[in-house]
Amino acid sequence: MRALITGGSDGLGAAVVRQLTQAGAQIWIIDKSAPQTNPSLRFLPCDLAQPDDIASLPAKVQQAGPFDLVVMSAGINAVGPFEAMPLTTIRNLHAINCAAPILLAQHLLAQDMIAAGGRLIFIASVSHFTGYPGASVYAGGKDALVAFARSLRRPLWADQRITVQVATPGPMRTAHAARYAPPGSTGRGRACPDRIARAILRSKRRAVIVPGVAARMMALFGRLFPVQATQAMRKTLYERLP
Amino acid sequence: MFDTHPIQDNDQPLQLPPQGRQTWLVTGASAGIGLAVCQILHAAGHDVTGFGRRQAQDLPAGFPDIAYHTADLATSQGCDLLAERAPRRLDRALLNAGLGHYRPLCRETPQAINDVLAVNLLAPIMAAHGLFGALQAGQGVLGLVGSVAYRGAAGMPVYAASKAGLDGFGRSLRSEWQGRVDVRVIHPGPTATGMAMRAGLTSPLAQRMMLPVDAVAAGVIAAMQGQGRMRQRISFGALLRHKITGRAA
Repeated sequence: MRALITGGSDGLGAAVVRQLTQAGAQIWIIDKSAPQTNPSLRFLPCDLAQPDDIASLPAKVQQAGPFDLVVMSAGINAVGPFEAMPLTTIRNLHAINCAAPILLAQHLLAQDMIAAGGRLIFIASVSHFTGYPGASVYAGGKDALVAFARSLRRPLWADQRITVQVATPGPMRTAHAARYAPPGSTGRGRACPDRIARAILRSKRRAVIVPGVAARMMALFGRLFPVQATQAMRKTLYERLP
Repeated sequence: MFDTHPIQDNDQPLQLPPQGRQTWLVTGASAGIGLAVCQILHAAGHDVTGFGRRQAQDLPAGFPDIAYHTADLATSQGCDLLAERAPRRLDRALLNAGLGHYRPLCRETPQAINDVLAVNLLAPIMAAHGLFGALQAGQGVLGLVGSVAYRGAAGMPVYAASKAGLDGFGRSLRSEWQGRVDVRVIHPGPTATGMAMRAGLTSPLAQRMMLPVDAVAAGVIAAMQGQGRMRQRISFGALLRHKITGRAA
C-alpha cells in the first residue's frame, strides 16, 4: 500500500505513520520539518501556507503514486480572544488548515494521484459538534473541511471508487494539544494519538469518523444540546485563557 | 480603489425617529442580495455604507443614495480598506459578499479555489476582526451571510466548504462575543441573483426553484433584528412563515 500523509512528522499524523509502518505500507510524508523518530521515511518538505509550494507537490510524488491512502493531517491552532488575534496568525490558520487540504486534494485528483479503491481522509476536529470559543478561526477552518469531505464523498465514489472520509478527533496527548490547552490543564482525559490513528484507519466506510470515547461523548453532547455544548467549551477553554 | 457614490435619486428616505434609525454596513452591496438589502434599508431611512467589487460608475441604475466604496475583498488591501472606511459606530454589519461556482472539484482551478475561500471565508473573518470596535461601540449585530449549502453540496464542494467555515466561525465567535456583539449566521436558500446565473444555475427548472431576491433581502434584514438565534435559514417555508406570523425566519 502506498500512503501520503500531510503533517506526518508530528502529532496525529506521526501516529498514522507509525500504524501504517507496522502494516508495511510505503509512506510519503509532507511536512514542514522532517520526522524526528524514523529518518528512513520518505519526506517531502513543504510549507502548506504557500499555494505555490502545494502546486509543486504532485510533480514531486508523481513517481510514487497513485496512492491508496491520503491523510490530510497537517494543521495548526492558535487560541485567544478573536479580536486580539494578530492578522498574520489568522491568515496562517486559514491557509494551512482550510485552503491547503482543499488545494492539495484538487491537485492530487486532477492528476489522478489517488488510486481507484483508495481512501482520502481529512482530519477535522470534534469542535465540529461543539464549537470552540477561543479558537473561532480554527473551528471555522475545520468545519469547512467537514463540508468539503461531505460534498466530495458521493461524486468521487460514483466516478472513481475513491472513499472520502473526515475524522473529528478530540484532544490528544500531542505537542499540538498541550500547546493550546488552557493554563493549569493537566492533560488528563486526552486520548493517545496512536489509538486515535488506529480507530481512524480501521473505520473504512463511515463518512464522518468520530474516533475515541471522549470525542464520541463530546459529539453526542453537542448533537443533543448544541447551545449548552458551546457554552461548556467556553467555560473550560475561553474563560480560562490568560 | 476608493470612491464615494453621489447618485441622487428622487425618492426621499423616510424620516425615522433617531432611535429607530440604524447605522448599517453591507458588503457585496453592488449586486444580488446585498443590493436589494441596501435598497430596502435606504428606503426605510437607515444610514447605510455599502462595499462592493464594482466601480462606482458601473453601479446598476436605481442604486440607492448611500455611501459606497469599491473594495475587492479577495485581497488584503480590500479588507484593510473596509476597516478604514467603516463608520466608527455600527448597529448592524452584514457581511454578505460572496462568490461561487456550480461545478465539481475536477473542474476547479487553484486560483478559483483560492478566490472563493478568500472572499467567502477569509474576508468576513478579517472584516469581523476590523469591525469589532465599531460593533461593540454600537452594541451591534454582526450578520454573516452563508448558504444552505453549508452542510455539504456535491455540485459545489468549494463553495459549500467556504460557507460551512463561516458557519463554524460564527458559532464560536457568537459565544466569544456574547454580551458585547451579537453574532448571527444567515443561510439563504438558492436565490435568483447574478451569482446563481454565473454559477451556472441557468436551467428553467433551477430558475423556478430559486427564491426571489427581494424576499430574501427582506428575510435577511428581519434576521438581523430583535432577539435572534445564532443560525437562521431563509427558505420558501421560512419566507411563508414570516409572511403569516410576521416573525423572522
